[in-house]
Formats: sequence, C-alpha cells, structure tokens
Amino acid sequence: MTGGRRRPLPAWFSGRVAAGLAVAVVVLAVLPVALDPYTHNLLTLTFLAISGALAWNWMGGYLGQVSFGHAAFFGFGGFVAARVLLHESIPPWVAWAAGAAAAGLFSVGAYPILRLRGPYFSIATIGLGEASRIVFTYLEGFTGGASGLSLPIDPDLKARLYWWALGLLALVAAASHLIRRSTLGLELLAIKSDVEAAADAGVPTALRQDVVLALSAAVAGATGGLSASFFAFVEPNDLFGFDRSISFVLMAVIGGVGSVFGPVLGAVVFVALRQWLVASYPQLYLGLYGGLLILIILFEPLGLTGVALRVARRFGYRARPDLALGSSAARPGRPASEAR
Amino acid sequence: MPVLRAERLVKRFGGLAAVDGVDLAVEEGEILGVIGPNGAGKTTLFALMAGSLAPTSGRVWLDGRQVSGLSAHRVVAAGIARTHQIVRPFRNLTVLENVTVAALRGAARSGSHPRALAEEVVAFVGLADRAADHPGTLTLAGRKRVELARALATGPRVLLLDEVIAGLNPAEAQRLAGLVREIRDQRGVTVVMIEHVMAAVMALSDRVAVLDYGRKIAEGSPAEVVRDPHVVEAYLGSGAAAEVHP
Repeated sequence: MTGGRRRPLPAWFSGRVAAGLAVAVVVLAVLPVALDPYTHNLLTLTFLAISGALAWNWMGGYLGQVSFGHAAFFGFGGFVAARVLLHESIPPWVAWAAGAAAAGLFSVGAYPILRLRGPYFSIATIGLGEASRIVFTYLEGFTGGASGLSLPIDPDLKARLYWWALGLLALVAAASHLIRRSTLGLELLAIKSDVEAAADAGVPTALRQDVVLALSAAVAGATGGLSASFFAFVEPNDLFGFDRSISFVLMAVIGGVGSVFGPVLGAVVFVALRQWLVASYPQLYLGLYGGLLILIILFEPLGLTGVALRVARRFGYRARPDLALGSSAARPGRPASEAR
Repeated sequence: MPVLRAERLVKRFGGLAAVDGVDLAVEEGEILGVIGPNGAGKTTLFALMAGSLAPTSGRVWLDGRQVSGLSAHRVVAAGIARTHQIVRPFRNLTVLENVTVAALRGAARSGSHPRALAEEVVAFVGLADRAADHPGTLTLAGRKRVELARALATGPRVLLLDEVIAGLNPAEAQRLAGLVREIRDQRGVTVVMIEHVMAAVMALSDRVAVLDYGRKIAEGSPAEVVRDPHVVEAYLGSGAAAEVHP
C-alpha cells in the first residue's frame, strides 16, 4: 500500500518500479553483444533460476506455504515441453507454453495439499515431489525412464534462450510486484497470518491458494521447459530431484522470503555460488548451502535483504514502510498459536 | 420476519452435543444477548451461524435464505460477520490493511472503494490515529476494536460479537458498549452478542437468550431472564432459585 491517499493512480502502480524494471530489461537485452558464450549461458540459467525463485516466493513468501516440492512442477513442465520439442515442426515456445500449462493443471490436481498449512503442507509437498519423481521414472513411455530423453541439439536456439528467459523473468518480476501491491496480495498476507480469520473477513481462502499455486507451478513448469531446451536432455531423477525442490527454497531464503527483491538476489547468489563450488569443491557444496541456511535462519531471517537493510540503516537510510523491500510482508509467518 | 433464524441447530463432537437443538430468531435491528455458563455452547453456536463449522443437523436462515452448509467466506458474502473471543488480527498488516481486507467484500456490496470504506470504519471504531500501526502495538481494547472494525467492514446485516467487552477495564468496557450501541443505532446492523459482563448485557440487550449444556433454557427481556428459575439454577446450582427468589 502506498502512502499517498488521493493518488490518481491505483495503489499498486509505481512509476519508479516500472521504469527500473524496464531499464534493467533493456540493458540485459543488449548485453550479450559484449558477452562471451560462457557468461551468456550462465546468465540464461540465472534468469531461469530467478523466475523460479520469484514464483516459489508467491507460495512461500506471500502465502506462507513453504513448498519443498516445486521440482514436481518443474519436472512435469520440463517433460511435457520435451515431448512437444521432439516434434521439430512445432515452434519451441509452444512447447514451453504447453509445459507451463501442464504444470499449472498438475498443481490443480494437487489441491488437497493446500487444505494443510504450515509444516503439514511442507511435508505433503515433499511427498508430492518424491512421488512424482518415482512415478515419472517408471513411466518410461513418457519420460524415457532413468535414461531420460535426448532432444535435438540446436546451438542457435540455445543462444536465443537468453532472451526468452529474460522475457519470462520480466513477466514474473512484474507479476510479483503487482501481486504484492494489489488487493490480492493483501488477501494472501491475511491468509498467511491467520487462514480462519481471513475466511471470517470474507476472503475465499481455498480459491486464492489454489490460484496462486497454479500460477506458481505454471512458472516453475515454464522454467522446466526452457531448461529442457537449454540442456537438450531431460531425465526424471534430475528434473524431479529433491535437491531441485530444495534449490527453490534456498534461493528465496538466502535472498529474503516475502519481498520481491529478495528472491532475485538469492537466485543470483545461489547460481554464482553453485557454479564456483561445483567446479572447485564438488563434494562440499551441498554442505556449504546447509551451513548458510542455518546461519540465515539463526541470525537474519530476512536473508540478504535483511543484511542490506541493516547496512542501509547504519548509513542513515530509513526504509520507506511501503517499499516491498522492507515491508511487513517480509516478516516470516508465525504459527497461528503464537498469533493469538 | 426475523432477519436471522436458527432452526433446531445441533453440533456434536463425538458423543458430546455442544449445541443441542437450538432455535433462535433475531429481529431486524435488535441487540440480542446470548449468555450462559462456561461450556454452554455459545461460541459453537456462533461458529455454526458464521459458517466456521458445519452443523450436524439443523439450519440457519438469513433473510429467508439458507446459509448453513456454506463456507465461512460465503456466509460473510451473504451478510453475517463474526468477531473472535480471543482477538485474531493479521499481525503482519497494519490496522488499516487489516480492515481493508474485509472492506474488499463490504465495498463490493455498497459500491464504494475498499480503501475509503476501510478508512471510514477505522475512524468509526475510534482508531483513525492508529491506522498505520500494527495491531501488536495496540492495547487489548485497541485490538478488540480492530476485530470489530474488520467484521463491520464486510458490510454485514448481522454481526455476531463474541465477548468484545469481557477482559477490559470498566472505562474501556463502557466505551466499547457505547460502540456496540452505535453500530446498531447509526449503521442499522443487527447485533447478536455473547457476553459475560452482565451489566453490559443488561444495558445493551433488547432480548437475552440463555444457553446451558447446548440447549436454550430461557429467552426474553433482560429483566425477565434474570428472574427465571432455570437461569438461576444454571448459574448457581439446583435449589438456588428458591433462595434467590423466595
């Protein structure tokens, strides 16, 4: 909610944010002329990671439903897209859109888990992710089983993925901001705080959660489809892997759950760290993430966003209360018992 | 015709009938007090009428439209709003945002803007100067006002108030009682209130219904009800009626 009362523009519209996003997208869009192929590809993966982290944050941050099963949507979207990509006459964006739509529909089928809240929801999503991994490993006709599916290799398409991923990121970042500022965002935060009280205030809690899960899953599915094209290979144990589910959580938590900026920062740090660690210390890197997670949860629940806010405060800046960066939404949800 | 009517409402939890065949008719524009000893089923009755719980049997009608069996947010849309005995503000939102969430429904009903409606209701309950604060910074009386404002902002025909006065100091209690009366007098909202503070019940209620062990044991004007031997027995034990009103 913005401070001005009689603004002619709707409360969720912020010219500065729109302009900032537009400048960032334009700069990133022309950047590849100055990039080597390695960095070009790394940025493509980073865009996909950010999109996924932002979409996860709609559930984990805005709604307070921490999902440990987003690999199910990533994987399902990835395999549906891969199946379509095998027909080379169909343009690839159709395949990715099909992956996104399929993942969204898949999540609608999983709606009963949304009648659970808090730790119960999280545990159910672990089950969803692992069950998907096992079922799709067995469905050899669809996924190629444990040996996976190879897609036609197209270096040209791989290079162009940069702009597709950037486009997806721009869309998801804009959506994150709009949801956060809209009345829908307010309803989601109310559900996060106390789902029964939200229903008593007239919020259709079940429908709102279903819609947000479907949107979040669709974006995860789209990133799955794009990364299937990127690697030209899909395999169930990779796409549906539990560490992939964990990576969604890690990115958001490292950056700061609930804000728009946090998951962006978290995903950038996550991808960079992974790239460096996997190359240098392949045995250590999961352990290091674990340690990082513990430190963040113990000392700075708002992640890097919280650290940045502290630094800003030290230099005399005060966060405007309406800035998504430091807003109340970033406060981690508390159990209902404590909220009373 | 009564605006709100409960018909043979029953709610069983296993072998326990928390509400056991209650009939209730609330007239438009009245304040109906609901009293009874602890565990009499008052809050469960509210939960049934607000859609928080589905009745085991029986029905609830609002303006002749059946609302029992609907989920809570649909009952709110139909025009019944409740407050909670133990306040449940959204702690991650400001006071104004708390009320705005509810005003999304109320504004759709009245054709006004949610934010404008929320500001009006926040001012009505006397929290205009605290609108930008978080509920956690308010006193209990303040949080009860938030609870009241949130229910009011949904634009209800009937407001179910669960102990909005209990637990406050006498001065605050008086102010909140005045607010309840204003809700009826100025906004035309019908009020059903559970209350343990007898002075408030007696002063505010047009009629009082008494519950005990899930049944309605008496109903009538406040003066009639306190003289009813069944009511005296429910509160003070059997045989007490003869001693109180020989």
